[in-house]
Amino acid sequence: MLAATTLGPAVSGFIAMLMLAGTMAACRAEELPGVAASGFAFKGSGLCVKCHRTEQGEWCDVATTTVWRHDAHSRSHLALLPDNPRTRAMEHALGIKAAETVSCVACHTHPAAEPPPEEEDDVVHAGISCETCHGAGAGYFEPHMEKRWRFLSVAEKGVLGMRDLRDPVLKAENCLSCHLGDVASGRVISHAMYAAGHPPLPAFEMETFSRAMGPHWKRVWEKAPRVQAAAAAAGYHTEAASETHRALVGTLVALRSSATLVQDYARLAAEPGDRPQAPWPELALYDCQACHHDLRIPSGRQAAGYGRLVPGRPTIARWPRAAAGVALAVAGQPDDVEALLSPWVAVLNRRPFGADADLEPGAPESLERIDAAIRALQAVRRDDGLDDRRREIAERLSAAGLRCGDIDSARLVAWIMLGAMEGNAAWPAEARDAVAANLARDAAIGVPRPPAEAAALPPFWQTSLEAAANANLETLRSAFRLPPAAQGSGR
Amino acid sequence: MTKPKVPLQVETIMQQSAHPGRSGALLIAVLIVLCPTAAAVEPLPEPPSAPGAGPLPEICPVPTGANPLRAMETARGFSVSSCSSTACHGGPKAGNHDVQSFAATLWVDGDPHARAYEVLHDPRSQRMARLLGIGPAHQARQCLACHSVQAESRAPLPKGVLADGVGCAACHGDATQWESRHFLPEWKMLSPAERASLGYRELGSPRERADTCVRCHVGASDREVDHDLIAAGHPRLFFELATFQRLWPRHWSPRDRAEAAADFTERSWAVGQAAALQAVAELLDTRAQRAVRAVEKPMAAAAKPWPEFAEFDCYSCHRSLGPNADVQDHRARPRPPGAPTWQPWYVAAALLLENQVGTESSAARELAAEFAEVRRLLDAGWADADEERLRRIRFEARGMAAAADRLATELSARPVVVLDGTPASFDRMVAARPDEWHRWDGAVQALLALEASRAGGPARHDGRPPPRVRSALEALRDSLRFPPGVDAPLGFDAERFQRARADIP
Repeated sequence: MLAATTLGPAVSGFIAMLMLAGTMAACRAEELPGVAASGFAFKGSGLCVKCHRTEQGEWCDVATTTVWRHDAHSRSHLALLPDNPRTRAMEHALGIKAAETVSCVACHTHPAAEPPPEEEDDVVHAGISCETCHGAGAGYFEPHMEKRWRFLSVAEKGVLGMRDLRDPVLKAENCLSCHLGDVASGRVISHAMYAAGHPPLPAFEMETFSRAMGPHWKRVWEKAPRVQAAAAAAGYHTEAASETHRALVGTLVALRSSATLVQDYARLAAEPGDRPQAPWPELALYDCQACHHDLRIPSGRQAAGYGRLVPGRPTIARWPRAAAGVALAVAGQPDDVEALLSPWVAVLNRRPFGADADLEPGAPESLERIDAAIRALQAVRRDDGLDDRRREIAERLSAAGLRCGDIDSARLVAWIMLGAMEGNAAWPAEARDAVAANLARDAAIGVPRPPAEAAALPPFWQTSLEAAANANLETLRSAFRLPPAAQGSGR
Repeated sequence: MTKPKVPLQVETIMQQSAHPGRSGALLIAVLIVLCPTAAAVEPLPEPPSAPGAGPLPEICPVPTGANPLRAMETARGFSVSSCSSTACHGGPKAGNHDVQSFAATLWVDGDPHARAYEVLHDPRSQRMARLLGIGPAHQARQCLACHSVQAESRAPLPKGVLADGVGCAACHGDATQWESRHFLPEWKMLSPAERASLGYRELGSPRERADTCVRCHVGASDREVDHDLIAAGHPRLFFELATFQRLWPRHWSPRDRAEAAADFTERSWAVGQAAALQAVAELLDTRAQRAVRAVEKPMAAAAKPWPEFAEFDCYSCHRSLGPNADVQDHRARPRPPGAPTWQPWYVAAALLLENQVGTESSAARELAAEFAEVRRLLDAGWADADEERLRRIRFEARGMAAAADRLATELSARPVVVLDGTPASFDRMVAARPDEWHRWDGAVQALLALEASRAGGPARHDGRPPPRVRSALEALRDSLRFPPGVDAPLGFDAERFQRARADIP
């Protein structure tokens, strides 16, 4: 298949960093490594499929590959084939071949197995597959089949190359490497790619998107009580707190990633050398709607003001900031995200898009504060009186939604808020339903649907473009108003 | 009015010379004038470049014992009141045929320039100033540069003079040296060079007018509308001399002037476009120069970063991304996808000039070629602030300015300026570079060229163009208007425009 045939021999992980070097057209997929950053080689999904096509007993009672078959990730490579008209148009406009271009294959395919499997099972896909998220398999594929595997610590599994996706930070970082961007792995989308026709990357909310992809896993607390007890007795790593807490962790990881993404890219661009390592500025790193909006009279933007930014200067992506204040507050930190990001804003004010060299030093204190908040949220356990916190979180999210300034921010806040309201005893069920209906109907905030439902709908990105173009901020904000909480509930 | 902070010395003087019945503010206004030495020596503070920079100081220290009357004199050359006495230019309109005798009356009555300072107090201006962090708009140097006569004076002018808006001196020049002479018979004996040496600006010819207007309506090193200002709420700038002259209330007589010539509208269009292109090129040079400074010394006062978004097509970026986004058609441009296009309004002007008057003019061809070169340079890596590239932009911009200057001079010297104006000429132009004519800016420029080619002479008074042509032009003009509530050409259809354009009689 495509990935197996076009991707070249193993090169060091460091080369991955340099893949962005030069213009996209100059970068060829042969430079993609067959070795993960962990140092292990990829084995290909063929091995995984052999077992995970059926339930593996109480511990692993989901037929993973059966679920996976319907997951859009498994078909991601098909978007690169030239029989896709959008791809053809993009290739023409950019003067590239998608299947040979690093920035395309880095997110749409899986690195080649070494050596390529001779015969592929029908569920082996060249798209995003097992090892893309779980880690290159050369180190763990054998011990993984042994019984003692279950009782290895997360650290021990990590040494063998398996990524602990129960850790919301690692999971968010992994998802966001494509859904937001990551310089080190060559997963950066450019503005030229968008302009040539690539659909926009919408706001990314880990828990909502996980549900929509069709989970091929179960949470530890969803497994049989006997398994839960055995896992606890063995010191088995269980997942932190509620889905809402995980979502808030995810949003802080997105905040950190969006801030460092600009810096990492700037570092490449600023590197001295004969040919530019990366063109600067790269517009795809910034808030799309900062520029892309219809000019209106009167202007809602001028009425709302530009915060700490000089008027007319593009800002970095907005949606990662939308719920970050809530996450910081829940972690017991000051919730002024704008103040936290002021080092970045200062650079953006000095020059539109910021100068590459200015972005280099970064702002370690700000990043450390984000990390501290993440640690605080991760420390929350499922038996820490979560329902009380969820009411507070829902209220804070509502307040954030009432202030939101763009559809992507509104969606991110709404998605987390809907999760925080779900089954929340602080509100009567019908009041919760009314909020959900308001957000879905009046504010046109779509919720990504699981594969079975999504097949009948227009692509999510298309509806998001429409919603962004037609969004009425007033209506959008008002949909976040919460009904009165039930008497005597919460806190 | 709140009492401004004044230095101690000034407060002391105020207490000593307090007149009953006069407000403190008025006194301060007078006191500003009373600082001849300081005014002559102290240059204006550098324009604030970042939010938080202070406004123009309203007060400067007054040396004890200064002669207040002499200070009054220094501002006289800039004040409308120096020109508008009833016996000079401020006479009554009724029953009067000598327009010169009531020019100032006409200006006060209906000229938008007379409101230029007043608008700085509008809620919109107040919000702009707040967003930009530059203090009150009516005190900010960057606003006053075009909204008053301040830019004509090295010394800060008193508020009473600034309040005139774009008064006589803004265009006719600082009258300090000629105000008391130009009503005497000897004035008529002076040569244009002698008058110019006294600070008087001749404004009879299209070139003189265009060079005057473009300083604000295109921009110059000491006055410009950049994207920060536009984002805060300032309208984008357009300029085309023939149209502006037609729409502008005239406060002079068209007789005995270049204006009386039958080709005046066409000449104004052609010379005005060339002069505007020169200003555009010079402003690009200035901006690139400041950008080089920003690379070298980011904190230097004259440093200003690149890219300057105001150099580029507004609607390349400013369009919503919905599947129905159809603001502009971006087909067939051989450039990287996703780059905004440079100055579509003036690139269209350069192409129209070459097409309408320049077939035999080497300067026009050269200018169009220079514009294409700068366009090529800016389209690839448009936001790249690389120093070497910026220097290259400067080099090309200066070449472009020189070519535009040559063309404006050549056109001014032509005995008659005739625009082609035939549908065939426009067809040739569109066919030669089809990708340049998908934009609204180009369509409007084409319309203005059509109007100029059909108007001929002073269009407002002699019945030209004939009603049939006029109504067709009006319909075409209406088709280019922005929809209500929108500040962009939503729904603009280039092909429909080209078809309608070809049908103009």
